[in-house]
Amino acid sequence: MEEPEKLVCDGIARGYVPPEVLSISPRLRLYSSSSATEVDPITYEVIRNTLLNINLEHGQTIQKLSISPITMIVRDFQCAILTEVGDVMCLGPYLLYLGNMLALITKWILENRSDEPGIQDGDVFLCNDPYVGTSHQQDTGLTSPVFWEGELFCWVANSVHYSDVGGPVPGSFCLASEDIRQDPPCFPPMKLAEAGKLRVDVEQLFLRQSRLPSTVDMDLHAAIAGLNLARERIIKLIQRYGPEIVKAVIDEVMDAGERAVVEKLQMIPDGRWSERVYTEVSVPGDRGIYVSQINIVKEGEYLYVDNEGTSPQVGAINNTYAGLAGGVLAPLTIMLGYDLAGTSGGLYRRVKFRPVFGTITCADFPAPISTAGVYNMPMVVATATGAVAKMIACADSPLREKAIGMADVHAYGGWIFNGINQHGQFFVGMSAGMATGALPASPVRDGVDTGGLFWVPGMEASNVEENEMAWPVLTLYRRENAAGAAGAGKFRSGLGAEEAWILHGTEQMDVHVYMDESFVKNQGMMGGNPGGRAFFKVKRSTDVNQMLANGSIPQNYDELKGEEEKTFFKGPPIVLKRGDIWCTNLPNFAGFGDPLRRDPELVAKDLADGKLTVHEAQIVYGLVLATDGSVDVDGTSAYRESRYLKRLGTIAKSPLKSSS
Amino acid sequence: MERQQVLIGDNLRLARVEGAIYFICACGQTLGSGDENFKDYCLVEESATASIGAGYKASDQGMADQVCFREFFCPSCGLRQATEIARVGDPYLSDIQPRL
Ligand SMILES: [Zn+2]
Repeated sequence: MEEPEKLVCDGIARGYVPPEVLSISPRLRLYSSSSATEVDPITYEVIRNTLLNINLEHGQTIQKLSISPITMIVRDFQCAILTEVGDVMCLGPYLLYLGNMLALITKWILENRSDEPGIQDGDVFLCNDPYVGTSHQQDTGLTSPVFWEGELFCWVANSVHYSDVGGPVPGSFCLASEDIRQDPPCFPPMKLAEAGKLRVDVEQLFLRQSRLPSTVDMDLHAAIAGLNLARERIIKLIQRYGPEIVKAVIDEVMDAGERAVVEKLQMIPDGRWSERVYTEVSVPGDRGIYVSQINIVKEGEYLYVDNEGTSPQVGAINNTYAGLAGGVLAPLTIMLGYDLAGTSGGLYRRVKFRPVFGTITCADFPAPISTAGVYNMPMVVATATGAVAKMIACADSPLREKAIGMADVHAYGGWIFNGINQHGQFFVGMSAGMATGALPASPVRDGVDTGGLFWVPGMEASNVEENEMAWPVLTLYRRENAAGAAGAGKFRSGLGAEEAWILHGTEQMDVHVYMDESFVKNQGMMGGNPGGRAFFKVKRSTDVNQMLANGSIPQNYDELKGEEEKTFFKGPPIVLKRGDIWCTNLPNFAGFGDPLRRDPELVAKDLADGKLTVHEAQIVYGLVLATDGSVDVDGTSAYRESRYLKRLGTIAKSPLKSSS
Repeated sequence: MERQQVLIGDNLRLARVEGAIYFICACGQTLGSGDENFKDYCLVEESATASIGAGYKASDQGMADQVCFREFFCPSCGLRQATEIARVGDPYLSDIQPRL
């Protein structure tokens, strides 16, 4: 049989994987420092912090000038300063998995554009091609070189989620796509600005694809403004301190970050850790179950990561190498790079990827990628989080305390919708219901209730009023979930949140993306319960408007009268109408350890706080209360002992075994 | 400094016993040697995901029937050492293999 042609990781046939040493045209002159430059500690800190602040100001500029709630309020974007060869020096406290993608895009440009058309001062490259280095087409990257006296000194870059970049579905999440040519278009890197001048032809090409060209243009200009600001500030810094000093600081920040990570790696035994997460439905109507697996081998002072065990690429549930690498680096940044203040480049140097291509988490062209932002990317982060957390839980103290369990597997609580808004205009909305978040449990403490998504540290949940202003909806209530079984453990997960909505100011609205899991996908940690099941519920023809007319605001979805609609994971679009009520739920996430080992006083506190019922306290945690309502310590011990004995008496060894 | 043991969470460890390396529960029960999956030495209960409790009810039973909830208990003390949501019939995930 003929050998299949070996695909190269060129960003065209399969996801771009940069070589250790880039192939850059000699036409492009790179600034290289003299390694002998010494910087005194005070100057070092001043310049380091200035660079970090420049990057933060870059992010704040995007946030202030953009008009899409997902960017302006939720902060679903990223910005970074990169070295002259495209390594991340620092990134912002935003969507962490985007950081390495900016490096991939920039390195691809250095290898593929430095000769023709060339890279010049004042250029801005635009790229939304997932095979080059984006999570999906909507997360479009801009990257711009910073030159000093004709030499490429560094790069500034950002990635922003644009509300609609074309394709057959409003919002561009194409759930039924089975080929990337049924997705929104992919643009490999091209010059959006050349030598300081915006190319209106390229701008128009990008906007022409969108159903919301004005909104996308405003957000695009916000992103350009962020780059311009960062570039100008870096030039001023170089003018003040000289290029040798600034470059020496950038190099030392990378080296110091790497040393800090090596110190932590020395606290971890060598070994191998894995996590496996199941997903479902590759395209609407499919009934399949699919696997995402991440394995981490720690050997000496390096981590080697692969996705062996993952299902072959299929339907519309794929991401490219960029998504795999970014999704793994995000939890590593939190658990190994928590003290780096965003200077993650040194960490990235210690992580080596051995991807299995042709899989749903490292797909080859032409697998469609547009849905990855809400399905695959959180799933890769979750899978990697499980593997990283187990590794960190084996580390010496105090590093082991930094392990944190799995958060959402898909963008739970989120939903994407469109229609005519209360102002009579077409709109596409993306509700980041995951933004309220919940911090999962760790080996030493409970998670944090509605504590945000840990892999988007700067993410903020929008205010109800902001949503009601932007979209034709009213929120009936938004509240924390109960503690219960979901996310229970010796240490329990933080609590997620539920929100119920009705239409307002319009007659109907289409929902294309909603998260109604058939079954729970989260994995518990070290004997803890998994997180709960995410759901999206719709009740038709309710009496909600009558209740509102009578002056009462319904506070419980289940108590409203109406016809419950049967929903499915990736079911057909739902048309919401006046009188309907719908409810989104972000479940609690992973618990840590056997719930029967939970400190009875912590169970009692959740009871006293109204977060747990007496029944659940007994069933889930084996708590026994005295007649005065206090914890019966002896009774609890005896009851828990009976539960352990019951396990021993009734459960047999399973004939199944693990894989070798 | 050579490691004498690896603490895995707070109720499992990998340790040397008379020259050999074992997974050991907090109660002292060994759960296989260091190059094996400790889950293979546990009592295992497999049930429907909905049985975990409130908050796990399946919305689509046909899909949910394809997966299960696994609990791995120490055969000596009954402590739950691990859980898995898994496709029915898939092997136990060998997920924690530190080395001494
Ligand atoms: Zn035991």
